Amino acid sequence: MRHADGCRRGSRRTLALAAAVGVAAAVLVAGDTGRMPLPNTARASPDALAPALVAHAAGTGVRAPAAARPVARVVPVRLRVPSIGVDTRLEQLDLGARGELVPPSQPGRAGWFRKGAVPGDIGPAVLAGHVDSRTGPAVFYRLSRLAAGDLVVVDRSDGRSARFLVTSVRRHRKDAFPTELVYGATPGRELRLITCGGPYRGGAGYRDNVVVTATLAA
Amino acid sequence: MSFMVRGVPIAVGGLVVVGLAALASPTAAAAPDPGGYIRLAHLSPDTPEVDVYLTAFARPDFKVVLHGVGYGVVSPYQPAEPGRYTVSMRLAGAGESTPAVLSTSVEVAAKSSYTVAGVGKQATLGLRVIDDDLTPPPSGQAKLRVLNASVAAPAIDVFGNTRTLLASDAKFTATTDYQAVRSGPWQFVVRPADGNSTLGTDSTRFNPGSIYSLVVLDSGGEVSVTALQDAAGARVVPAGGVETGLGGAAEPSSVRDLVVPLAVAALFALAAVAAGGRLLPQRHARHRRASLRP
Repeated sequence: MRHADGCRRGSRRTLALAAAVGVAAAVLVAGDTGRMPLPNTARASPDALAPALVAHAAGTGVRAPAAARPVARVVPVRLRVPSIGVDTRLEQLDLGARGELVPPSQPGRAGWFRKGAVPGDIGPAVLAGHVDSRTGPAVFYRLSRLAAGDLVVVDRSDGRSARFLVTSVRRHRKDAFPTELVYGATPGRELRLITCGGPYRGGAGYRDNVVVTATLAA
Repeated sequence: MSFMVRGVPIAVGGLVVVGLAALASPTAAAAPDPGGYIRLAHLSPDTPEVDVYLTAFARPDFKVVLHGVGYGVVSPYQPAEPGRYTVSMRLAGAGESTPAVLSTSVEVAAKSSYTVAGVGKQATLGLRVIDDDLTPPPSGQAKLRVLNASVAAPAIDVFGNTRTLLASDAKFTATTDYQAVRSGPWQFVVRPADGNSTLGTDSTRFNPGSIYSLVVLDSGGEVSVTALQDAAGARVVPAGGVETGLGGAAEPSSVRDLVVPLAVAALFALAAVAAGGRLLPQRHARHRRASLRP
């Protein structure tokens, strides 16, 4: 079981790396006509994205291209996790009075922490959703069933989609929340999905948070 | 020619970190992501374009090749599983079977990142493994270091926003330590360490929570300062966990909460029955004896 998992991870990694190589090579070859200045590789982070970030406008036909709205900041608008049947619009999440991340206003909808990375850009993008409402399951009810290698897709307001692969699924006590794992700086384009888990303690709520980490697929 | 390779201590540190993480989370449902990152850089002003190869010791199927990498080019980060890697450089277009001009090895640890750079002038060209720091800056601030890849002066000073000294007497190929700086717009002026002339100016904007390398390059008779984003974190870090559950689908508390009390009650009941089973006949016996005595 563990061995099979390891193999699966390994082969996905290989594919991811192989694709990343292709991208890097393409980026570098593109600069072949002249000396490619650093900014082209270093500063154009959204445009130097791996092919995992693909246009989704073709599918829906409703997204305006980024050029039509040059002022608007890119935000994630929709989350899809096929293996657990999640397909939700995303609201924007901010901090509460105590500095905590305020959860989404609706149990059926996940939210994006707007002071973190935009999914597909460098850094950890953080999405949170309820595991349940007062009456039954909510949008992230099955989040803890995700496994390494599962696909997570985030559609963005610029008409592109960021495709991530799950790297870990872990449960942490809220009183020992892994702040650096979730919000800390990363060189890669990463994603965190958060919901509640563990024992429910009435008025004190759930004891734990389930944290899923994922990295941009190549 | 080899430069410092600080792989082993890093790897040990990484193992310790992984070990602690595993201890801290006994409820782990899947293996943690063990990945590190490598990027490759050409920082040698007079060295022509090169092909750079990244291969893994333990994985013959793993190979990254960057073709025609010229001075000033820094690749995006490549995700890499922990382990030992070899970086080799050949002149652009040289066959893979030809001997590498340069090669070095780098030990990639979990959750760590490295810049492997061709540094120095061509005559003394070497590959250097530079540790990239992922420790977050203080809240609201950014973090940066300076890499001097310019030969415009024997040593340079880099000033930020006129007053802040970001690099002092940095010789060609020098890398400063990281320092925390305020986030927002920054302007840079590069001067020779022994003079007041201006070698070049540049500007950029630093995001809070992000980590940067400022690369000083020769650029058409001038000196440029380019900010590479080594890593990005949240601009503001929320406190604690997230309240994302209202209990409506929690395991039925009537069962969960009653399991232990029921089990305890059952044990008591069993004990009482067992004890009773022994005591009752004795009591009967006493009664019988008592009734027989008179």
